Amino acid sequence: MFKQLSRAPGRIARPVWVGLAGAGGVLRELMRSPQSALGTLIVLFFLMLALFGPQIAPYRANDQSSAPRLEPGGEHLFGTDYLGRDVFSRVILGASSIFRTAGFGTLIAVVIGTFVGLFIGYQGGTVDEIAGRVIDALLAMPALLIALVILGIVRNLNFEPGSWQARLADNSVLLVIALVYVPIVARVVRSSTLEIKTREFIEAAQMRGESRLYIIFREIFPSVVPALVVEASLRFSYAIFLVASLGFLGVAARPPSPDWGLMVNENRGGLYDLTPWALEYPAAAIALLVVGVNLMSDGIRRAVQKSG
Amino acid sequence: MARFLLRRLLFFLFTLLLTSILVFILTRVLPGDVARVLLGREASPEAVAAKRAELGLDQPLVVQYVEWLGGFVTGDWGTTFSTPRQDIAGIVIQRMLNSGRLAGLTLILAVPLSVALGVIAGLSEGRPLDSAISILTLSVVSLPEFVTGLFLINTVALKWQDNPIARAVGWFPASSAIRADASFREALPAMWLPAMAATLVLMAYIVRLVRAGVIEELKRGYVRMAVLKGLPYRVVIAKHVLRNALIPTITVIATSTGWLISGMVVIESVFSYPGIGRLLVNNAINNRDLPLIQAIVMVTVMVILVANFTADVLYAILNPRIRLE
Repeated sequence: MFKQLSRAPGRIARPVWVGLAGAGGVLRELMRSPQSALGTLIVLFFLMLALFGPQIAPYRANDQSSAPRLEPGGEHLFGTDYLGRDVFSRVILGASSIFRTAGFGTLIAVVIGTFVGLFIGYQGGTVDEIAGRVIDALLAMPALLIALVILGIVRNLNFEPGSWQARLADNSVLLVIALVYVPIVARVVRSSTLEIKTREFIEAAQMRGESRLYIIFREIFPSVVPALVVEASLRFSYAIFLVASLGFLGVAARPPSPDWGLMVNENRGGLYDLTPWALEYPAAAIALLVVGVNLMSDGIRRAVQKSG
Repeated sequence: MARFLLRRLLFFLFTLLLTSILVFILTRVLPGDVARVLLGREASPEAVAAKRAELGLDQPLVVQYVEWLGGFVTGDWGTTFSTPRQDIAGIVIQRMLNSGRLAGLTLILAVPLSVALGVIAGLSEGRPLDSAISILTLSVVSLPEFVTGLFLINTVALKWQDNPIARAVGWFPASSAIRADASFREALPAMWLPAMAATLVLMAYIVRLVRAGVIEELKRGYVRMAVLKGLPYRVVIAKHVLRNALIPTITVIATSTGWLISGMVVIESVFSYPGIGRLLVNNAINNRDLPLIQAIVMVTVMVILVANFTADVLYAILNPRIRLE
């Protein structure tokens, strides 16, 4: 009898595609405002550099065939750095590492954080109380500080090349970004879940005897998506910021990789002479990308608010 | 209110405990064999074993943790791994005070400026002035601290270098690498530029929040009521809107300590200012000085928690609704 009831017409469940269909509307909304359109274009531009960098860059990242510290112009559009490497090429080639670490790091954090947030939010009670406190406590530590300490310790460990530890260590920046952002994403998803689970359609699903997994993923998850999209775009912009700062502090990428933060640090005249252009162009690239992502995420937030 | 504060105090202690566990795991478990790290790859197994015994590393992790935490609570923070072996508590507190000085100067510069800008932006919502302030803060917030810092060095400091007045006053040097034990008077000239960089970071954050607070309050019913009963606009703003809009700001400033501290880590590295952030990057992390890392992280988290707790107390005092809870 209950089985029959669950197939009754007028189910209030919101299928997944309702949440996802909103994405098209969000994209259209994004292009309507000049600011967010500009931001999106900037991000797409850098994404192109990240994907096709090796085809675009005139020199290889570590080609030292030119004289060091050549001023911008002529053969070298952005000049050469203290080792005679082409700054223009290195800026282009640096795009891929920042998208890889910040992008995938954010993605992993969003996926894990969503699972954690949905489960503790739906579970409620003691589990939620404890998990909520733990999340709050973890967030008392600044992300930069944790990332700095973990990377500072890990980067000096010598693992056998090819072993699983070595592979983890090679991706340590990406993993650390994911690690520091999981509690933040989880908290956002949790608070959305707490609000949504009191709605009538959840009660209806519980009455029908739907499984917990069904309720969490088919009923609650679609309603969490808007808040999640906004948070993910915000996290991505902070992640770029964080990766650049860690690179500058010397714990993210190792020389001679063309990492923007590292390039700024190498050319600012500590060990070697100050090479202004070799520092200004990567710094400008970081700033431009972060401005682009910020404008885009502002637009996403507005669009989601409008359509939600 | 007592219950509210007691709850916050419990949370404070819980967070500290959790942090200590995390820090312990990061610095004892993550690096693998600490004795091997200290002695290097070529050390004989006997030497490594002796070092492990000396440092108490041969005991179970739980015992090590309790001993470490006990030492930390009673003020015995140990000595640095790297030579010369210094007393950790001494240098950490000294550097913390240096950073505190810089943070204080930053707050003195940043708070009045950003509250004023935020109020102006909020009152002229949607008009060109508001857009100008919003674009300015958005672009500043988009710049990582090291970019702002290097920009200030390359423009202000290097341009001022040849100016006779600047040389006489000694302000805005390109490097703030002063002695760690410099007095406030000695340190002040070197502190302006890093404080300006930190101000820009903090300002963007506070301006946006103040603006949002003002806009929200302006929409409230009591504001319309005050206007309708004939109060001058000036009085409505000063007596009603600002008073309510600025309450959250006070707590926001206290809770932005964490934000300010991560900014400080980078800014101190850019300017070579001898604060806690530079100690962490240059001495603790570059030398893999694990006890030093432990102490710095614990002290930093403690400062953040005290600031958050102060924010809670201030909030409870300023907002009667919390007190009655």
